[in-house]
Amino acid sequence: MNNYLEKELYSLVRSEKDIFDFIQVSALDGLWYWDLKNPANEWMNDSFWHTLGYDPEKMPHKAAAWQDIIHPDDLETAKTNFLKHCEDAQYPYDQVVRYRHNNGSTVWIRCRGIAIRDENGQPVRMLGAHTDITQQKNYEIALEERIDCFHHIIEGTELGTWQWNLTTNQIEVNEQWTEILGYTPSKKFIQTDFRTQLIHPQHQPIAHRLLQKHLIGETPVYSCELQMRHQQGHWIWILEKGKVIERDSEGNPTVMIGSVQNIAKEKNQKAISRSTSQHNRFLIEQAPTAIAMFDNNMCYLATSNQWLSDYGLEGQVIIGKSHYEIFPEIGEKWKTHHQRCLRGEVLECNEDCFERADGSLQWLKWKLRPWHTAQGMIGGMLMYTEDITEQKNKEKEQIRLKEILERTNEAAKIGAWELDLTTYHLTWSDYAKKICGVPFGFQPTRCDLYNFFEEGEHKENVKQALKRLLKRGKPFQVEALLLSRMGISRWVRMLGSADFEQGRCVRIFGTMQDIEKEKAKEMQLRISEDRFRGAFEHSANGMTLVNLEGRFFQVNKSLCKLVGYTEEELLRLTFQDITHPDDLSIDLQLLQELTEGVRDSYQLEKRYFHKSGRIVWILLSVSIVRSDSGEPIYYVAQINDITQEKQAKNKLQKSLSKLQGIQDASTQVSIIETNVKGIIKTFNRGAENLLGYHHKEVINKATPLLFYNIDEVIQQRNKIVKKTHKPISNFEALINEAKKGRAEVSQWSYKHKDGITLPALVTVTSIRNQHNRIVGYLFIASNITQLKKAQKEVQDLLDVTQQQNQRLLNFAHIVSHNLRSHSTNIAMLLSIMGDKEPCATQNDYFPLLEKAAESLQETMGHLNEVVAMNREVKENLRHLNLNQYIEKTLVDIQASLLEAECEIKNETNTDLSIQAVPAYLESILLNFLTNAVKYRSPERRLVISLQAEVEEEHLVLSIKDNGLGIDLKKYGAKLFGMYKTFHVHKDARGIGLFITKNQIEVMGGKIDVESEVDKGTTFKIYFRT
Amino acid sequence: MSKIATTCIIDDDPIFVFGAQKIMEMTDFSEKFIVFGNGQEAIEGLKPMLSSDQPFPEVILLDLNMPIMDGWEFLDEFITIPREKAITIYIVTSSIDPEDIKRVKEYDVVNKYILKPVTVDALKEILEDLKRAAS
Repeated sequence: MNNYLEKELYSLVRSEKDIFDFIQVSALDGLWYWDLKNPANEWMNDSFWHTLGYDPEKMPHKAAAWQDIIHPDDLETAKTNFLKHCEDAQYPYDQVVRYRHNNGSTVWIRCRGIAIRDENGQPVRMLGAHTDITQQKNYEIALEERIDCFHHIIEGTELGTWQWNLTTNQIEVNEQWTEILGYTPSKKFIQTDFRTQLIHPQHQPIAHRLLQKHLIGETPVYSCELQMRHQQGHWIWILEKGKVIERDSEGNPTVMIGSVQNIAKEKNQKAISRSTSQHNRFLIEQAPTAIAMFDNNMCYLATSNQWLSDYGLEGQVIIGKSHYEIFPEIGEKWKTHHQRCLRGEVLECNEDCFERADGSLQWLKWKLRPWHTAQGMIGGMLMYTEDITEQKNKEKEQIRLKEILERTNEAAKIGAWELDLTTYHLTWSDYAKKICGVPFGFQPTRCDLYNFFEEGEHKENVKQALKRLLKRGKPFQVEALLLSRMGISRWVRMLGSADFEQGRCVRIFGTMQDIEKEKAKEMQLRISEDRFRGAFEHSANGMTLVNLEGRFFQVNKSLCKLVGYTEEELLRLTFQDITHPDDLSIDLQLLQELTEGVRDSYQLEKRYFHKSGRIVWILLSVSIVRSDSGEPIYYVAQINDITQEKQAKNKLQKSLSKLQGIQDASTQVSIIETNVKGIIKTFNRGAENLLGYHHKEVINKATPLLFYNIDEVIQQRNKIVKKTHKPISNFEALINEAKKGRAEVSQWSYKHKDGITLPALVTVTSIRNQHNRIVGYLFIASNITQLKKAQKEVQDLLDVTQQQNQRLLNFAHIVSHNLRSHSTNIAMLLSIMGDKEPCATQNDYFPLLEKAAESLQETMGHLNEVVAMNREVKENLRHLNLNQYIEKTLVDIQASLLEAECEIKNETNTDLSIQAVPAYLESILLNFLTNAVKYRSPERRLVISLQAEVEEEHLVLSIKDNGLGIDLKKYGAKLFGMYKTFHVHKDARGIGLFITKNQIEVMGGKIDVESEVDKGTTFKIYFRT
Repeated sequence: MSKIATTCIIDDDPIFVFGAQKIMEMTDFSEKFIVFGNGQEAIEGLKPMLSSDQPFPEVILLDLNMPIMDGWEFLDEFITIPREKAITIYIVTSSIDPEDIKRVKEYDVVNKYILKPVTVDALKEILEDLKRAAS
């Protein structure tokens, strides 16, 4: 402080009013006093150095100290001005210079000075003052940048016209109108509402008000500057003018015509002119700084003119008056501040808001600092204030503009970004942060410009575009998938531009737009979104949209359920992640073919891993969605759970393969499996052999109808339709019975591949899963050509036999009839002869002749009986009670039974029923019973027992006696032959058993015999029940 | 009436015709006999008798198995001829075919089915029947 210059200055301030004024006005941020006689010496006050970031204690009071840190260009300017000012006191020493702050940043200083001259007018000292205008300067720069920004966004101007029909509320616009707003240039009609919606919400009230004023006739023309939404989402400045040209009888406007003009450029120009450096400098020159000096009682000692004008005190004498008298509205807060200052404290505030008595808001930058008397006592205080209201308003306007931009951007889902290449500082607007899913406090680093995009193609595209932008300044527009912090994947359109200065890129900036909806719309166009989405969400099938990398980006509930993942989890996966590795290569290959356009879609059975790890069999159907230019966009996949079918099929396949092992070996049985629709799924070797097709020719390509004779199928179909009255397909005709759960076995003519027809016995059954749902059909067929052949042979044989039988029957008839007529004639002639010519009978021959004729008659009778039997039996079969007939027969032969002293044991049940011809049954029973009596043993009393029991479909009647018995070894084969007798008995005729056997057999029965000589005989007679 | 005026025998078997005539003589069955060898001859012979005033045979013995026109064909033809007198036809055959026996019952004009050989007793029975019918 012991500086001669300092002391000199202090005394100057006290003695020279001008000097004091100068200091008050100019020296807020630094004061210097320069000895021009010794130019190396210069005194600088503390705030001089504080402002520039240096410690005043360490800085020498040498001119060289500041000359080192001033910008060289500015030093030159300052020198020039200095010299001019020295020569001509009227020439102001006043310029804005740049200093390098201790931290390296630039400090903008308004430097003003006055020369202090000796009595000859020669300058001997130079008094200078600094005002820090860095903040204003920065605002200015920021503003310029912002304007630049606008400039880049906004397009050239064109004049559009419109005609508004107020009765229909339609506006006819011309091509320019549509072009200005970014639509395809075309003349068209729009609705009034459409225009209103385009107007920026903030401009809507004013536009509406101005328009109403004009419509009711208050203004001659309607003219409004407003912002409208460009088709691409940003806002453009429009000058909209119009005039009502027609009114109805009541004066209501009906037609209005007008124009719109893109005034982006004009707006720009204005903004530029308002804030170009020149203009701004002028403003800053006028920017007021006020200083007042108070004593300890807060009474004014001195004020700057600026102070007076700032506080509206021009013309008033305030020196000597109390500050509180002048400003009665000053609050307690300030009084406290003042007291603190007067106790030695330095107080300052860069921004403070005051509400003046008139209610207006005033922004102040202020500093309170005590001043000291020569004795070092606090003499009072200095109050520096700077009205920064305008600056603040400008700043507020800036914020407002930014807010508007933000809000409009938000409305348009546009986020802004900006990368300063001098600091590498990346700025994101709030909406940009929202898009990326980061909190508003998030501070992005420059890598975040591309880091949020999906790995791979997307990120790479963005990176490349940025690279080109930096190198060649080529603006870009990229659409890419961005994966937000929250894991949400969405389409984003990123735009970028660059600012170049002297061939070097200094700044890049642009926008990020959420175009997920746009993308969705793109989708809508392609796949009638509404219906698709409904189907998609509620489909029982799994459905998904998969991007080109295989990532699921939309999945429905069914799919989530199918694989056990939540939607969120699934969206983080690719289909590759959950596909069984064995199925992946074929799937990828098909997908490749799909992408390349080799195929339009594909179906594949494959395995997914459920979240639990188990395997899920699915039927995958994939198709591709392409852009207008044919570029693949994504895949649409439908996924059906076929695990159950697959399991059922596997199960079946297993049993099938077992069967097949056997059946293939014989290669005779054809096994064809189909799905429910009839498509062949299995075609075994037997089928290949039988039908001549290779399995590859028919599996998934044909239905079994291929092998059928179509006429037979149609015949079958008609038969079913006749019954059910429901139309069915040919295939359904084949599976009609199988569908109902019955196995259908029928004979069909199968066609061999060579065209040969072969008879096949076909069994059709349904294949069902565990829910009893039909999943397919099984056609099992065997070639019955051989069988047919055998059948035919049997048939032929049968025919021959029948013919023979017929001949035999004819023969029997001839015998029975023709022979009979001859024998009857003989009998007749003999009887006449006996009566008429008795003498002729009196010899040895006649009785013999009579006997022979009688025997012939008898034989003829038997023969007739046998012949007649076959024909009679069918129509005369009755259900008869066996027991009743036995009892009746016993009554009939009671006499002979009594005579033989026979014991009868009839043990047959009374309710046994048999099928028999009544006369035959009587004859049979009579025959056996009389035989038993006839051939009874003379040595013991005859016992005949009758028993009956059911044996399968027959009722077996056993008639047992204890008679003579038959030697079966000797006579067994002849027992039932005609005219066989085995006993010497007066009544033995040898015809009984023959007839009986025949009778039993024609009634569908048979006869067995057991016998032992001299023990007895048992006849077992089998009757139909 | 104790004796039948005319008996007609339709049979192709000359032995039977001979025998039958002998037996009828023995039993004094009929005064006259008309014999036809088959159905055709019989129709041709009997038709004019029906349309004229000639006496018509009271009894016809008809064989079934004959050449040209058999007994059945004769019956079918005969019943179509309009007549006033009641005529009794006896089927005399060696056929024991139940079908034949059943079929005969369909003809009202047939009185009885007589199985060959014809015996004296059988003829006596016929006479008794005719007497009963007359009285």
